[in-house]
Amino acid sequence: MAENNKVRVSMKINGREYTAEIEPRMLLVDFIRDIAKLKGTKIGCDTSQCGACTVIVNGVSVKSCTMFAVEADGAEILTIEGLEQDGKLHPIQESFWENHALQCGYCTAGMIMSVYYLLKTNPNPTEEDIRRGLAGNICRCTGYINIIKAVKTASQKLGGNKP
Amino acid sequence: MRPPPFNYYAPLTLRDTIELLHTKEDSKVLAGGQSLIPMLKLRLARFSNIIDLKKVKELAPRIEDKGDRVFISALTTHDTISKSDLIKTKLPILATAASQIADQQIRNRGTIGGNVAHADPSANFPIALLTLDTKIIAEGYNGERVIDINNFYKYLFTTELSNDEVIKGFEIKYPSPDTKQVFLKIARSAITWPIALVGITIRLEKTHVIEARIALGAAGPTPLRVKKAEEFLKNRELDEETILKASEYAVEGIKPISDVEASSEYRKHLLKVLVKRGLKSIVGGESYG
Amino acid sequence: MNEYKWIGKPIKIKDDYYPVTGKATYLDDIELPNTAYVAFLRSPYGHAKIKKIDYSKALQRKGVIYVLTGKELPNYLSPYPQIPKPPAGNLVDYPMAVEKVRYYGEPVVAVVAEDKYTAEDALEDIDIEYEVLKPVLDVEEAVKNEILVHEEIGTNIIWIGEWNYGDVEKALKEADLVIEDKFIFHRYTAAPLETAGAMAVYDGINDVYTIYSNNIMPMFTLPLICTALRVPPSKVRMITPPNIGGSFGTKIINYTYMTVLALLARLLKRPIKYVETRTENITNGGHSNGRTFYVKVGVKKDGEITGISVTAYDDIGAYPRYEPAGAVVWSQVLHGMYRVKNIKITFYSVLTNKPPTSPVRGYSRIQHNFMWERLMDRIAKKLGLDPVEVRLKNYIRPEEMPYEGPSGVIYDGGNYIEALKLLLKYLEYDKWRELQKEYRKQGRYIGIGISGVIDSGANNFAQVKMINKDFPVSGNSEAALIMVDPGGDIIVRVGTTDSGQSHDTTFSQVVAEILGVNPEDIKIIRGFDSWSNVWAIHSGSYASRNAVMATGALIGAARRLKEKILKIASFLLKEDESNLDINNGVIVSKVTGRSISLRDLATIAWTDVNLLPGDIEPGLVSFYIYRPDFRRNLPDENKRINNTLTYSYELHGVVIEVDKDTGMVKILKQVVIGDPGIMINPLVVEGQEIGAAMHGNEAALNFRVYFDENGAILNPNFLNYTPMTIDRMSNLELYHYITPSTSSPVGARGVGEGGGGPIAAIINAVEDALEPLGVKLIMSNVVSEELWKEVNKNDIKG
Repeated sequence: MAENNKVRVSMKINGREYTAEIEPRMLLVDFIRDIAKLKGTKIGCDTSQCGACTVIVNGVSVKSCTMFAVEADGAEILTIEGLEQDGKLHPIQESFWENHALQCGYCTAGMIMSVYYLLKTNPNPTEEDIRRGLAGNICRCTGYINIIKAVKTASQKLGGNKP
Repeated sequence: MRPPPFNYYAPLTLRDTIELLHTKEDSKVLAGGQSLIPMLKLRLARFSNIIDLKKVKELAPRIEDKGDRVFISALTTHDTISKSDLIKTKLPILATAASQIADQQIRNRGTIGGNVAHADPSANFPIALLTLDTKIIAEGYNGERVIDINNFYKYLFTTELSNDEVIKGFEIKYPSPDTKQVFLKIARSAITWPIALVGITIRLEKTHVIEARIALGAAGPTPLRVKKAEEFLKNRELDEETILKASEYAVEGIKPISDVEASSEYRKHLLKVLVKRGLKSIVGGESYG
Repeated sequence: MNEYKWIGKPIKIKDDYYPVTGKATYLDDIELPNTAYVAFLRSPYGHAKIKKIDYSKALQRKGVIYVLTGKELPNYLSPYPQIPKPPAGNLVDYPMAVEKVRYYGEPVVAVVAEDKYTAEDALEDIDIEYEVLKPVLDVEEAVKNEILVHEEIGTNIIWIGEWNYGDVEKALKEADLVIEDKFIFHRYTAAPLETAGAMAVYDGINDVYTIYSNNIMPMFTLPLICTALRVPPSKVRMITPPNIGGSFGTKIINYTYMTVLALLARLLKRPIKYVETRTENITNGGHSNGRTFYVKVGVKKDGEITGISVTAYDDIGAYPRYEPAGAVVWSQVLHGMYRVKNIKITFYSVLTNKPPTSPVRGYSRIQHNFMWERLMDRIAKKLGLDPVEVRLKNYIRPEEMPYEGPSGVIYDGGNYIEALKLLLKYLEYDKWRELQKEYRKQGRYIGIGISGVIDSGANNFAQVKMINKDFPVSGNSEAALIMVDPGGDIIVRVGTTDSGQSHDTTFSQVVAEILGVNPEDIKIIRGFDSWSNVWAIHSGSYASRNAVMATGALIGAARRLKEKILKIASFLLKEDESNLDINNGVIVSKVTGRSISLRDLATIAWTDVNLLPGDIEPGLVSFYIYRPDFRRNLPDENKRINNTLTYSYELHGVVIEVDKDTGMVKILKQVVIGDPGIMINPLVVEGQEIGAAMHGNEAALNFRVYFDENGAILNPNFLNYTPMTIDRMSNLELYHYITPSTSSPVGARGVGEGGGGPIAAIINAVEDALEPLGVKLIMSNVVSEELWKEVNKNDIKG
């Protein structure tokens, strides 16, 4: 029987430092939502498939439900809340909005973070690249057609540059 | 949905890691966590002690060209392997297998060491590695040892490794330039486990088979090499009849599981189909995958 | 249509701002101090007696506050009211299992703990001893009443309804051929990305419960919760957050969790929260009814249907949580798109030891549409005709619109023939029929499938009076309140909930149209609160109602407000009201050009009230509850009623290939033609139509819930119950053929459920592909292994 020990964890989320004493089993998504109180990142499943919890950890997209907070000790994390700068929306956010690439919006935070990573590594994706890059993000509402459009728009807005 | 409690350790050296594994009962190593954490969350497995390998300097991700072989350290991620020019050129079956694991987010965290050690028979890397000259470099309380991949898998989720052993990395000899490599799988979507997967490496002189290796996944409790089919192909012309026969031999006697996803019979059939398609693609037939 | 300034425009959806910035608020985002968390221990069996529960270890666990067993519930709660009269009406339904478990996943014990991790840990501390009983899982077995799901009512048949119009016997006699067939619609679930959840707070001073939830029709489920808690509605405040992460109908039956949480909040005097896990959602979040059809149809050689007789068995699961409403809802589309006059349908609503069903996108009509559309193809094959021909022969003609059907429905317009022709054009039907011949010679199996479905919207609740003539529910209503506030801003409150339908923008467009302002200037209060919002009892988002219902309420309120505005302006400007109009927030005289801004007028109306004419109340606010006239508002003794207001329809076409080696189905081409009537915002409507089509694809190709012989679910999470991902979604093409609705304000039709359009099209296509092999498909879902077996039945060795 394991002792309920605690670990001290510190991470930077959207540029701000968060520190807490937590159980090592605490999932990163719970740390983000319940300790840092950043509710934009969501939980949508229990088998690491839906991608609603996707965030960027040290520059790379990750399903935060499949990571312990303690594994992110010392890390730099970007969540959906960190994309807007001084009231100005990120081009990916603009593109999703213009193309109505969402309906209920629950998948949107994770989807946008996955798009962020996709465009970072592949600024001019083909439709096939987009379908492959977002295969780990489930949307139940849109049927994906508008999401694909939004990624193409975002790529254009970024002028083929990294986000 | 959430894992049971455990004690967490993040050693910095391999020595410390092995010491922990040796002294702490009921412990498990954590690499990328993309196989382990889902199991813990569904409470299909539990461990009192989780030992995080990611700070262990000896295991840090690296791909090293050693002339006639490559060394890939255990913590190298699927994403890195899938994008490595060296791997794509010299060991394309490995790059393909890596690129077809789940989705991008999982590939960003998942590691080759974890994928191999987890010993899920429907995992991609074991299949690809079985078709190559792969040596697993492990170290434990009794020191380092080299394990041939063909001796690595014992039964479901169980490998040759003892409780205090950790995979350090993989040494894979580059196959000769005339070797063709194919990796194929059938899955209902990117995020679901494959129902059938096949890896083939084959040395050909025009259409004459010099040597073939065929590995099957989701074919039984462990990843399998199908020696009978490989023997059959040796020194034969890779024509339609041979391909058909080889695919039949490949699945002879195998007993894949039956579950809600697929019956044993269907899995067996799909594996046969994949072997056939894989061999056909090598001689320039229809392309799949 | 051209005269609208805002209605019909694809303006940017302001609702989308919140999710793209991470600022949307869903149920689990709401935090209250001192909240405790619930986890449920659920039945692993489909049918068993509960012998013993030992939770002593759980109470010893640090962080566990309380344990509640279903056994104790009768001490605190009354059972939920039932729709039918006795004996079925005597069914006892508590939100947790009392002495018996009747379905896999039925909650037996609720653990309350300081945090969600501990609550889940504590479930493992609890030991339950069961005496396993044989479950009844097949609906045709269930009607035999050999194994009873609810002994207290002595039967598994909750209700039998018979619809009988024209002279079916004569029609079958006069037919050239009578075809008999069986179809099965399977159980599946919609799995919205946000699972169900609730949080309850009890105010001991005022004896008031506040229930936060993502329930999509909170005022309608309120009476159920109140009956259970034994309190009047005035003691319960229902709050829904501004955002719900999808529902597709399922977030109606979560009232059971809301009830338990409210009770716990009272017992423990702190906020209590519960969020379903995905596994709990797939198993118990609400399945779509499974339905078995036995069909007998009489046809002439040219394909004309003379008459049809159907017996349907509906599997509603172990408790009628929204049922047996589904036993009458399908009659909205009784004859589908067809002008058949001689129809007899006997419908059985039946209990099984499976999880309770809930409305799921296309509720009850999806099954019926499927039956009709499969039948048309079967008729075609039997007669050697093209499926298109048979449909054209039997379609309701455009000149018959609005069409009054034998059961009292009034179809509100549409041209099925033209829409089908459009489908054939975009699908490239003739080209694919030729290609099919070519591919067959090459040994490839390509199939083409068509289906047309009615996607009825804005229901008439009086339909449940067919089940119980004294059940006090009928019609439909929705409420809206519009205010021009003292600052001149336009504030709107409306009783709907939003689970992804972009209400903010849609409603703004409607109000803007009437009040002559810009939709950007309208503020719709987001979220629902029964104490500070407006509502009607029927309020909510379900049955594709709000393009009609909310629109009706908003138009009513906006018109009243405009009337008042013009009256005041006429007085102040000393102008005839008929000279005045509102443009861009200014009331202007067309004759003299004198004007006053809405803002200035508002200041006078609210603050400088003695400047108002003597007979005018101060303020600029109007309240309106809209009630549509269904024309046949109540059912007669023959079940004749117009039980939905609008009848949107879609034509679906797919071209598929079945890989003969693997049995896997690939969609090569997919086209949807929709007639939603006037679209208030085309972006919103198209999004719904595409999303609904995806759900149809999933229902046919991905989603089926599997049970073992004990009634346990074999695919309870996304691993084996996998939604459509972007890498597998077809590149479907959507086109419109618009005819306005003759029944609704602004001519819009309710849309969003899609009627299960692609389901029959896909099954028709697969059967068409495998026709040379003589394959017959009974079910609404195909699985590659089963198809592979069919394709290779002669080759497979045992």
